[in-house]
Amino acid sequence: MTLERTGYHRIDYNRTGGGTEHSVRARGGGAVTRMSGAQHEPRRQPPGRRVPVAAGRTLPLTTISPIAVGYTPLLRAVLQIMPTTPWGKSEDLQELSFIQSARWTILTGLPTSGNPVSLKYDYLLFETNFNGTEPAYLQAFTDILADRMRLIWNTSLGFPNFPEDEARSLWRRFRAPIPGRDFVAWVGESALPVGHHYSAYPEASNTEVLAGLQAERLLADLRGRAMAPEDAEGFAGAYADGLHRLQGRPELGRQPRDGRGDVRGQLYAFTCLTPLPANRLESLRATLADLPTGAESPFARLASVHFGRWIVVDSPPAQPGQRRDSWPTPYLLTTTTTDGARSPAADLYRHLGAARDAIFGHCLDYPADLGEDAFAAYLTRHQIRTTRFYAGYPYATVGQVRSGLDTHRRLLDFAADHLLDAPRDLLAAFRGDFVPGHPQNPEARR
Amino acid sequence: MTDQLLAPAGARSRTISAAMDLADIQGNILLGYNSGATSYVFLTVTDAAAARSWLGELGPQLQSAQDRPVFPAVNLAVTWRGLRALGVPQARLDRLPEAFRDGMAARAALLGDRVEQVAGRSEPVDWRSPFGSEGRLHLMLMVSGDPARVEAKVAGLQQEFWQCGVTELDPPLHARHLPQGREHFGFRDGLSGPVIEGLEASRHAGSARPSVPPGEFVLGLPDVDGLCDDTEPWLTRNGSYLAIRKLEQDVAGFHRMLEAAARHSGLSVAKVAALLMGRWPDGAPLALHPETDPGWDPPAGNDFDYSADATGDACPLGAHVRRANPRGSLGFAGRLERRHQLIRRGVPYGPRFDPAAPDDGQERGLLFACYQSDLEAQFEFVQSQWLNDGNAFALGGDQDPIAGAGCSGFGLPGTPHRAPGRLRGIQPHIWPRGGEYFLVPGRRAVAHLARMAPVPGDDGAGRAS
Repeated sequence: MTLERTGYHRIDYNRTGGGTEHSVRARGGGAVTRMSGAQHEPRRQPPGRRVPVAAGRTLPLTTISPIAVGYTPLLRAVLQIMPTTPWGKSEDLQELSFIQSARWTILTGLPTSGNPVSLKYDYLLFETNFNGTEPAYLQAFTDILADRMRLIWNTSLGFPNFPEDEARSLWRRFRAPIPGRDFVAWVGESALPVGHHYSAYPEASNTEVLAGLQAERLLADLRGRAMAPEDAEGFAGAYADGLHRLQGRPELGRQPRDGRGDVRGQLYAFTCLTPLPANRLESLRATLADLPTGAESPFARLASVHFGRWIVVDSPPAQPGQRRDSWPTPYLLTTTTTDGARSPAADLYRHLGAARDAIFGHCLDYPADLGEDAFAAYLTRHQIRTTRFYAGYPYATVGQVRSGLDTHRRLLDFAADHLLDAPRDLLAAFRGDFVPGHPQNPEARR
Repeated sequence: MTDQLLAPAGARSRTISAAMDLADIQGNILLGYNSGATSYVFLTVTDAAAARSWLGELGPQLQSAQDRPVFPAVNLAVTWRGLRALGVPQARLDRLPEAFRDGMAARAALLGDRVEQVAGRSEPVDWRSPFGSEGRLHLMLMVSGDPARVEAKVAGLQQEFWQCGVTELDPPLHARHLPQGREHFGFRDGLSGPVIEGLEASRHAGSARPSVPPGEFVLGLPDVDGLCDDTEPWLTRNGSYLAIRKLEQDVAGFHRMLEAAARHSGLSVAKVAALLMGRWPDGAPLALHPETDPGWDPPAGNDFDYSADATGDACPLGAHVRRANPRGSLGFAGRLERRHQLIRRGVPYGPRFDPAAPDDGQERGLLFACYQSDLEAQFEFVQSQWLNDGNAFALGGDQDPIAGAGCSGFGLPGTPHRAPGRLRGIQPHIWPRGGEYFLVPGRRAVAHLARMAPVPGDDGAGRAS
């Protein structure tokens, strides 16, 4: 490799004292080369583009990555303690505006009905529902929250580094910057193809949900004012102020300080791995691919499900330089984000209908025809406890989200219809549209 | 050694300067020619050997970014299928980015264009020749200068094509700058551009806007991560990916919409137009001049951001220029925007709009063009996430009022004199008539392409020699 051939330099602008390392790297693919000619392990392209299965504007991502041997306790401590510290405050995630939910689960063995299966590695299972595009979502983290990303992912094998950090020990890499495009490629390698994905409000993005919840609060406030004796000026002022705020960045809402475990606010993160006989792998994949989606999805029959997905996991993808860890059997990964701060296992039994047998019937030891308790116990036996859970609106139920979205739309329509109304007319129109029981409401007059 | 990069002092400063190899970079990427006219010549390769030989002669004539441009300036762009038609081995072609390989027609649905399935292919229904999914567009010449000399130059080139192994797919598209650099809706255009480290930063001394590393636009230079794209460097180095879109503008319809919105809102037509655009017609940004049009103010035209206007009081959050270039609107000191910057080089085409004959049946519009190093993260992201979706700006499902893909509402900010409100029925009066993705290669890469011949034993998997 001659200088003339490449003429490229890696500028070490991320730290003092460096700056002599010269290297070339492809964006998410191709060779990484240093001017000395030493070859780095090339970062491979993902073996094939995962077909996106977006539910409207909600995109799913599930990754699994092996944790460096011996580092699991450290990672667990990081995931559990970080949210309670200033370095892990949820407000940063809320400000990013496109994360509907995210959760990290440490897998220290695979659940079975018989003897526990030990694995060569522990694994970090990550799941998120987000808006936008996957590269932009991931790079936002490397650009905004690089330190936090390192804390969580640094112990995962194959996590990308700048060339000069490759040789450093894991400890010395904890504050190193993350090459954004390589991170995208690594996630691509670690991602599991999603078999079925459901969102209860697929056309709503995260900020839209937040704006809807804000619209509900605004509507309640304005209703209160509209019920009061005539104060049209006061009402118009509150309306203008509220509408102005409603059309800006939404209020982010309350977040619990603690992010440990399966519960966040009133939400529950359910994760379950049920083993499959190897010969049922393809048949289950086909079943999942054929499931109706959107409002016809089996998850849609549960009023409490915000997000749900099914993924068939053969064995985790191999990381560069690592041998592929072979699992004894394939698994079906079931995850839901549900209302009620409790496991949805029994609800799944009651509401999944024929899809329950069609899907779980592929799994080993599935208690067909044994009733709700046996099914719930079966899921609970195979449940993996969530290590850390984040949600963009942890205190809102599916019903509240949907109602908020409807209120938001109605308030904005009202704003367009009454753009130039004088305060008295505005108040009368508001009562007519939004205050049932008020004499100016057509329903009440009828 | 031509690419001398200097490491600055300061930990994690993310500031670099690069002396770019300007002699190798084609001119229009880094220089806004503002030359009066650009004609676009659309070619398909009929004889690879003859076409390569012609490129060998053309290469040295291509205008570089090094000197003041000599008009008429000629620049060359090539599609992925064009590279294949010229004989670039498939294994090398396969390494190029997916969006470039696909071509714009295959990604029209992602961009919000109407598509239908024809013979298993996704076909944009509103597009016109020479654009479409057939993939016969291989090369595009861009000839810039004053209109008469450009047309003479194009005519001269056309006489040679019969012996160059190329055929014209369509008559050239003659795009002409309108007086004062306006586009057909009447706004000054081309005011906005990124500050590029090592280049424009030096030109606009004192500019407070954060600069963007040159590798976000020119391949082979350090990007936001400080890394250089080394994918097939013999071909891509000092090149840039070009997205063009032919956007027909319905000027009369746009004016009718403005008048309806003005009646509905009690605002003046000029004010409604400025709120939707985010700039006054003469170019002054609402962020600096929210209430009245100050007229032409060149220095302020590009040196501003929205960090002091987070709620959109001055410039609505949904205004076109704010969506297309958020300038700090997304918080985090602009760090969420650095990977999504574009160098814009649009030129209007078609006759100037005459208000006395609003429905004259003439096609007019903008040949939108933008340069970048990553089509997916830059042009496609801006179009699909910032213009066609409102989430990033907390605007729900609202789309861009000027260049979005569909009809939506538009939030009006409140002022001390006016309550906030909302406009309904705001829809773009721009119709995509086609587009394509090109590589605008470095001049040495053009010479490599010209010299390229089947190499014994080269299956395309080896290193470039």
